[in-house]
Parts: sequence; C-alpha cells; structure tokens
Amino acid sequence: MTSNGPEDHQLIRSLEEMGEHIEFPETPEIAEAVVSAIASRRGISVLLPYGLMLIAIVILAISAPQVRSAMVDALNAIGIEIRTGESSREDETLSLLDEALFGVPVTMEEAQEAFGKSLAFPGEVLPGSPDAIYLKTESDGIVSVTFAYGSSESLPEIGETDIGAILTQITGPANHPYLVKSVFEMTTPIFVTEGNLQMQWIEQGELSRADDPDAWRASANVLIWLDGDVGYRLESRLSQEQSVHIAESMAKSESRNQLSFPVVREVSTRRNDEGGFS
Amino acid sequence: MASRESDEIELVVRAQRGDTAAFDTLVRLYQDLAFRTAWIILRHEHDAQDATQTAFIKAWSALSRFRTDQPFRPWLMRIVANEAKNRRDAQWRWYQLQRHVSQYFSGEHSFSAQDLIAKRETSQELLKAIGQLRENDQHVILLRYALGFTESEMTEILDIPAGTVKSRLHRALNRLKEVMDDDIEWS
Repeated sequence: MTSNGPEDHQLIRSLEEMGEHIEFPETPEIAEAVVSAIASRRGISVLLPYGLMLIAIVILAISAPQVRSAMVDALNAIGIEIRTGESSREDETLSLLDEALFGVPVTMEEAQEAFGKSLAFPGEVLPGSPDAIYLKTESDGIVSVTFAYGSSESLPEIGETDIGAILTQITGPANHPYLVKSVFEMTTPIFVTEGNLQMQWIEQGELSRADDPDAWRASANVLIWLDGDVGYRLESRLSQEQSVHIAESMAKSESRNQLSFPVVREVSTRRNDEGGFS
Repeated sequence: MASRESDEIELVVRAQRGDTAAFDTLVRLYQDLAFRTAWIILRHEHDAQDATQTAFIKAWSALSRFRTDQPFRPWLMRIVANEAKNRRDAQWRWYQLQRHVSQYFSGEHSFSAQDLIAKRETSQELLKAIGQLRENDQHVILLRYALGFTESEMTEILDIPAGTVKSRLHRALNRLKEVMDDDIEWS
C-alpha cells in the first residue's frame, strides 16, 4: 500500500489525533540544573592548589572561530591541555594510534622500564592484558605508555577500527604541555568527582600534538584524570559511568588517601576589534 | 503568536548578553519539548534528562552565534537531537545493545514507543504499530505527529534536506501501513 489515496489521509488524521492524546514520561526538573551548571562554569577560577602538579588541564573558552592556536605560555605545569572552540579543520591528519601521538610498539617490560614507576592496570571493564603497548619518550623527559585494547562485544570499536579502548599514562617534568585536547564548540567538558579522583569527561573532542596543532584527529569519548603524579587519558566509546569505573579501578592504593586536584585554568580568549585576542 | 515570538526573541537577545534569568525562562519554555525529543531518540528517561540538560548548556555556549532572524525552536531542538543521537550512537551503544538483547530474549522486543501512553484505543494501536518500525521511521513519525514539528523544522532538527524529510516520512508512513495491514484495523 504505497498510494496517496484516502487511506493515507485517514492514517495521517489518526496520527494527528494520536499526537493529541499521547502522554510522554513526565519531564524532570531541568532548568534548575542547567542554570546551576552555567553559573558554576562562569564561576570557575584559577585553581592552583598544588604547584608541583605535573599534569595541567587547561580549559580555554574560545568564543571565536579559528582560535585553536591560542596557547597558554604561563602554565606552571605540563600535561594535557583542553581547549574548547569551533573546529574549522578539514581532513584528519593523524590515525587513531598514530606514532606521533603514542609512539612505537614495545613490550610490557620495555614500557615499564622506560616509565620509571609502576604502571597502573584497569580492573574493571578492561580486564586482562592490553593487546598492544606503545611507548613515547620526549627529549624533555615526558614519557607516555599507551595500552590499546581490541574491540569486543562489550567494548565497541572506535570508528571503523578494531580498537576498543586507548589508555595512556603520562609522567614527566613540569612546564611542558604534552597532549592537546581540543573540544568542539558544542562540547562541554564535564567535571567528574569520584572518591579522591577529579576527572574531566569530554565527548567529541579532537586530539592534536602540542608542538603541531595542525596534526590532529577526532577523538571518541575521553576521560582524563590524575592520580598522584601521573596523568591518565582513556579514549573509548564507553559511557562516562563505565570510564569512571575504569579510573577508579586503576587508583593506586597508596594514593587513595591523597587528593589529586587537576590544575585547572579557564582562559577566555575573545577576538577583539583589532583581530587579536583578549 | 507574534507577541510570543517577539517575547521569545527578546529573551534570546537578553540571554545572548549573558542574562541567565532570560535563559532560564527559555529553558522552562522548551524543556518539555526538548525532553520529549531526546526521549524519542534515546527511549530512556534518565538518558533523555542528561541529554536535555547537556544540550541546553551547549545551547547557552553557542547562543552568541544564533541569528535572531531565524526561528529559535528548531535551532534549539537540533542541538537537543544531536546530543541525544551522539549519546545513543556512542557511549550508550553498548548499554542499549545489552538492554535490547535482553528484552528480545524475554519477549519484549516490540519496544518502547509503547512506553508512551495514548488515551484512545486507536491511538494505542497506532503506537503499537509504530513500535514495530525501524528506528529512523519511528523518529520521523513521532517527531512529526507526536511532537508536532513541521517538516521545515524537522529539516533543521535532523540536519537533512527538506526532500529527504519528505521521502523519509513518506516511506515511514508506507511501512506503518504495511505493519497495520498485517496486524490491525486502524480506520
């Protein structure tokens, strides 16, 4: 039955009538939470409670397009930089496990030796050994070890790859950004607190090199957190809740009683009339 | 209607200037529609609530780029629909899969369009039939007839050309008729 005969009009009338009589689930309170979230975002101030923190999470609230290259020079910490802004990029230039981001394949023993401290292993959702291990060492002493896990029924693949999760552990000296995480303008990094861990949950971001912002790729769902003096980044298509469970399962027992505050700075960069940024 | 539209534009302009009270009013004005739009896509109350809240926060962030000579409602609902679709496609895929599989094996696979309640028997039968359609077909029918979006608004919300909205709707209605021909008398 594919004609536009009288029965179509009758069906449409029935649908319109249905629309008038339908009852949706009751709408929960939304406005209060939204306005509260907006107010708290406005109220974020520079938080530098621990100057020796190795990893910095920097949020740049970029309101104008083509502002991705804005960098923070005065960082008193290294690590992961999160920017929000409008993406005007075209083709991705990096692959999912690009060597430029995560380094070269190594054995677990090589990774452990290069990292110089105990690597953490997830005990939830991602049990067992990783399917591949990557090591990246920088001349300035930053070291990252990345575990790649193959996709499975419970671990959806990222894009059209066979990879289900990418877990990176970063350590090194201060004063150097390592990974730059850019977030589309429509994406809001979400603060997540669980126990002593404070985390950032980001959807639909971009990942690029700190020393070459034009080398980039889109990223899946990302959770970034600190535990002691190590920064962690988990990328997957898992939910926020599942990702947080992984982070909790990796928390080192000796650091469970120590607060791990991400160093957070919000910088509002707004294009002024002269074309510069304020 | 004109007064309501002008009031709405005034609220948007105030919100663009940073007036959170004006934005609060806009949220309260559209939260029902936004929640229902998200619910149609996500089929889960808690997920729909999260998606709606996040979408409003994103709308606030993007408000400076909204052109006030354009209709606000479809612009806002597009953000809501995108947020809901992203959640459905990404982090909830695993969860939804599990849920649907368990429902399938427990015999509850003709799903949650029936979670909606219609007061009339014919409407309930229609909902039951809609519940047997593929997801995209359900979306266009429910957005059009349960929430009353115009085809023009659906073009914006679903981010597809106007001709595609028409053809999707046409195909969905044909499939609905086929289902109903198999199952029930709907006249």
